Amino acid sequence: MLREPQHDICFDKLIISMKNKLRIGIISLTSCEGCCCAVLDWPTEFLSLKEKVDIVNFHLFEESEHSSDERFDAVFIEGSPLTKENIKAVRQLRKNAKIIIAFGSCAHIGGVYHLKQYQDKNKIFNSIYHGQEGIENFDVQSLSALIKVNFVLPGCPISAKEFFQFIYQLAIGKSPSVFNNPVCYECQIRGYECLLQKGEVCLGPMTGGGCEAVCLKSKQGCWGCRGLIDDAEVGNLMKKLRDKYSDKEIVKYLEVFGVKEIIN
Amino acid sequence: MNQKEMNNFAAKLLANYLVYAPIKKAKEVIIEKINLAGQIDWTGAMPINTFKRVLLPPREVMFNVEGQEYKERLTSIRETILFGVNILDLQAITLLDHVFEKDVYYQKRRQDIFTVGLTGGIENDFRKYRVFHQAYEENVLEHVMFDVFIEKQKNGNFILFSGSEKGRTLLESCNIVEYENIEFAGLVPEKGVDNKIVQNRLAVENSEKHNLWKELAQTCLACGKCSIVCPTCFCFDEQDEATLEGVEKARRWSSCFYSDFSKTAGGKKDLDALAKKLYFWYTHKFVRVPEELSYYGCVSCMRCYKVCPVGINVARNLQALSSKESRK
Repeated sequence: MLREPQHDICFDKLIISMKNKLRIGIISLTSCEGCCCAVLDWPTEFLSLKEKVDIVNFHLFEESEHSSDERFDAVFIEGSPLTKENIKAVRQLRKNAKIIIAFGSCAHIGGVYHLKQYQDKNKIFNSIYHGQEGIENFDVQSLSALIKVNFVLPGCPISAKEFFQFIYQLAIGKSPSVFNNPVCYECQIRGYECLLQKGEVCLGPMTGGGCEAVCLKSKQGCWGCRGLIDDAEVGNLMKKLRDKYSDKEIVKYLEVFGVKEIIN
Repeated sequence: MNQKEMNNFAAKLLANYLVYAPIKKAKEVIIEKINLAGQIDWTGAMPINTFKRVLLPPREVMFNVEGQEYKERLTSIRETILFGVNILDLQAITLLDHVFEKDVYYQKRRQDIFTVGLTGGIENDFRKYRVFHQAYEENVLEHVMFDVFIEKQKNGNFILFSGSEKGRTLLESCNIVEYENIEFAGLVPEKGVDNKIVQNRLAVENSEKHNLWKELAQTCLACGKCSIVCPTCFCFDEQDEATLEGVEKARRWSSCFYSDFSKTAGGKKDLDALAKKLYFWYTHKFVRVPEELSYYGCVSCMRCYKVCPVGINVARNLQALSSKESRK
């Protein structure tokens, strides 16, 4: 059900077809809105974007109503399509936009609440809502399970740096680059303590970097929110972790961001 | 020169230059920018990181293109001293100097960087460096590039050497006249290339089918930490990055363990298996660099082993490759 959208070959053609000032939407589905907030963490860059692109739909920034047939060059979709409204909106956006970007871990690989899928979802539902009626118990799914996704900006939350870099590249008609070095790259450059060497669980070697190893800075092991890099040595990392942890313990870490499913 | 005079020398350098030196932090020795001469670690212990980032920043912008305009980014840096560089790290810097001999970005920065070597009484304490493949000779200083070299003697006093015009000027600007001149005599000693270089090259060369690579590929995580920490790993990726104003061409450290390293247009990869990547890493250090420069591609500092989460030991691997029984 979860799968990693591949970098799209048609992408270059799409970019060439975008001659005028780009129309960009940033849409939230079911989520914590952390990725949208992360964009606003760089307010100066955000405000100066108006020189390059038109941000036409971004609910943290404006309150105007939008019609469902509004056209976009690119739409960043944050969160997971869970409710019926979500699913309808996503399908409509796919029709209206040239490029769809899965924005953050939820849209990319299912997000934290994907944890529900690994348990008895009815039991969990009842323990929280105590059998109230009128609340639907949805299956959690990533964006690519529903529509074609052209590109992924991964992370929980996304990296504002990567977001702006992506828009600058779109604006000059350049195909965006993917950072394919693992978290360990940025971690070792910054000289952070290696948690694997310390015997803790860290998924850094198989997880895509670009996050500047922010978790490791606080001695928090990587749980893989950014998904796998190409050629990830998953088997060897699991072997290393099994030296000290049982499969049951390891799986707990793999489930947090849905990494469990993309490595199988 | 005694410790007090030496501290004065360091203090004088600190007054005029940016100084990087090994310091003791927690239980480890680490290279950092220092503010006080008292911070310097004089033990000669191997620092956990290297001076590489000063000479070759992890990421640097080479030039910008704004509209139709091309702008070089050859900005000068503040004059910098790399202080207390041990002999192995000096060899690594010597290698970088040769590899980037014609690289304008490297050379522009290098002009303003001075190297001040240090040893805690080389001969006796040299084993501490855990040198696994170098035959250490007394005339080692003649075949390594440095500006100033400090030898710490057993009685705690210091002897100074100068290895370049830059070094002599530096010493004299600090009113130091008692020093010995050492003339750089090229990378290769008179009696020929270090035999250890030859032996290691023979061991690694054409070992592509050796079982070792398959075995290592069962444990290696391809995290690339070894390349990042290695003082001689100099491969880099170049990329175009868009900015609000235009495009900038930047380069950043790379590692042959990463997927993009050997990727070409169309997505083909030469290093498409972990065993190939491992073999490539060793070939570059022990075959290709010696072939091109007759010099060490690996200075045997063992930092790669120290940072490896699965404990891959380069010295042991070289042994395995050179032992006849294991060769297939």
